[in-house]
Amino acid sequence: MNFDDCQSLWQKQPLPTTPRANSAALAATIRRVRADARAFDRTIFWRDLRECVAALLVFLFFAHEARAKTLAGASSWTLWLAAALPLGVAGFLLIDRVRAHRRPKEATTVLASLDHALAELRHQHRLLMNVIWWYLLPIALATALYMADSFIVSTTSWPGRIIGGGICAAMIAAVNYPIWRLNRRAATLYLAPRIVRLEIERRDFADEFDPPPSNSASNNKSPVP
Amino acid sequence: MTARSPDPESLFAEWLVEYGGIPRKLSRAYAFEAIDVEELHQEMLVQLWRSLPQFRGQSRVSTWIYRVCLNTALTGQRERRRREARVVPASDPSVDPVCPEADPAEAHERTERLTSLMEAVRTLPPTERSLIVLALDGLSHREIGEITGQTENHVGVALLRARRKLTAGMKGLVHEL
Repeated sequence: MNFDDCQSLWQKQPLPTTPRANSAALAATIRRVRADARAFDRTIFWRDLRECVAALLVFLFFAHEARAKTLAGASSWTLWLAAALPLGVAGFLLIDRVRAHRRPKEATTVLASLDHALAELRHQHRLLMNVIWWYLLPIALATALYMADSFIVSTTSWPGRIIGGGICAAMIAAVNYPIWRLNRRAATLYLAPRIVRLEIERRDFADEFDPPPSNSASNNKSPVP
Repeated sequence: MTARSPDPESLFAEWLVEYGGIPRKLSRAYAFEAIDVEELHQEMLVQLWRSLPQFRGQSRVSTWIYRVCLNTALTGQRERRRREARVVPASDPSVDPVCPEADPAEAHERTERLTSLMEAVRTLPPTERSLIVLALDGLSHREIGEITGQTENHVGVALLRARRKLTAGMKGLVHEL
């Protein structure tokens, strides 16, 4: 068997569905494709919305508290600062998602597509590895400011403030540490291997080979029939 | 005809009839188990549907379909990736019996040969696999280059290497590739 035989074998391989002969099967296939595409888009939309809404809800809570305190005539700059931090997180998420949606989805070649997929994966990897800076820390700081504000008002003794602050810090750390670990785990367990695999594929595609031996080159100049 | 036609669904149906074999064959080359083949095939169709509005008609429809399907196969992240390391089963469930109406012995032999070819193709690294699959489908070096983004010469050299590996993978069945 030579390469022509292989080509013939490959090209004549029986295919399980013959939509040409069955319009009902074709319609069913298209319905399934459309449903899957919609489900995919819905998943992305809800994921983006969920993350933004979570930050916005935290902002609304702190803003509400700050407004109430302002209306009561008390100093409320700590609470306004606490409200601004999650708002910044929501803004960051929104801008990042809008930029991701604006990037061209379809590359002109497989090589360009690999580059695009790699850039996306590296971006996601960076986001997860640095989640502490753009998500956890601002929200934790906002929570800390809110708690500090409450303690300053309700506790007059310094030992009480220190103990209370310590408890608050421990609570914030207890909530945020597992989230930080989960994000790092996702980045190293799932994204990093995919990046490595795509980098290998990208390198294999782009690799400039040494010039082949002259006889091999002459044998291979004509396109595969 | 381009994707700017008023009815993308009709266009998609037309393409599915005309070029439906492309995602079928590519999914067989990139997934090992029957369930994964179906999953990858469906993933390719979904990507084709989602990419349809971006088709500008600057390349041939078949070239575009090859490109989208290969992108899906190479950059996909489904469960099948974890199964790829497994040993390929002796009887390949994704290969259907060849010409059931023909002489059973001949049909059996062809099925065996196709299974061997499929197994040899699947042992290649993903990038070389894509070149071999495109070549097996009868595409020229230039057409393969248009799809992958490589130069014609580069395709030639890489394909030669891939064909050698394919030969090694089909020891006893292929005399010369």
